[in-house]
Amino acid sequence: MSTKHANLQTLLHDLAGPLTVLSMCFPEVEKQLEKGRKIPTSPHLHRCIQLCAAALQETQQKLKNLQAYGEKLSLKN
Amino acid sequence: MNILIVEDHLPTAESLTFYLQSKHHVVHATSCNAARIHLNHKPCDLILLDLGLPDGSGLEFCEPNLPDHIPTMVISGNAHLHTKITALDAGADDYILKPFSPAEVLARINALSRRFTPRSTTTLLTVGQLKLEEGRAEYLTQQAQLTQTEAQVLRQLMQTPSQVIPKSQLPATTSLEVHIKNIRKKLEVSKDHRLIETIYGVGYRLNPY
Repeated sequence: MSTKHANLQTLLHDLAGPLTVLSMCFPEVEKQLEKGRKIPTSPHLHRCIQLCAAALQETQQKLKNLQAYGEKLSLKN
Repeated sequence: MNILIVEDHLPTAESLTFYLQSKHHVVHATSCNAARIHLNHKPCDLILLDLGLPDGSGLEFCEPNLPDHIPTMVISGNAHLHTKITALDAGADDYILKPFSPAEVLARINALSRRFTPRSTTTLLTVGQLKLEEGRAEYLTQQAQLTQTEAQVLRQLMQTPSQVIPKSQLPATTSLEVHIKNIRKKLEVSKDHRLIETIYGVGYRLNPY
């Protein structure tokens, strides 16, 4: 496997973590809201939303890394 | 079920724990070494295993030929066919690709736990007129549904009938007398003949007709 491929694979692989958190936590937030839970009274819901926010930020950062790498490759070509 | 999550991405481990802890007892390790310590301290029923750990790939936990093989589900962001095959060949029992839906993880955990249920807990045991199958017990004219602990106690007594088993070797040692009393109440037909005999200061002996 070329270095380019390996780097791309690592960058894509890094995205899996935060996307998993979003996949796990969004349905849980939805479920809690349907049950009528409110953030001030539900530490569980509060923590789920915090995890979603952090995962979203992590995803954005990792996408930027991927974008930067893509630009670097296209400049080389 | 006791589940060990071996995952170095802390938010992933926390969200998995959130989802699973309502139905299972969940512990978390961030490295192979920490997982080994957990397993030495307390065995678990299932491992959810990330492959890219800081101190190794984690595949050492998949060893399929050990007598105490723990069912292992790999949770990985690596979609390569070669990686999947390597993990399954190394002894992993399942492989789920990140990102996954919580419902799918739970369904796969349930499928694995069904596959790995020890046969001894589902087979029919018979000693004299006493029969036990999956918590359902029959003795002479009595039929009863036992609780999980009662069934465990009775199953153990049935392994060595007519022999005294010390209290310390039976499950639920602290509440054992209560469980014995309940089994007697559910199954004994007459107080003249004790199905489970108390050997004072020692333990219990099963004496079925």
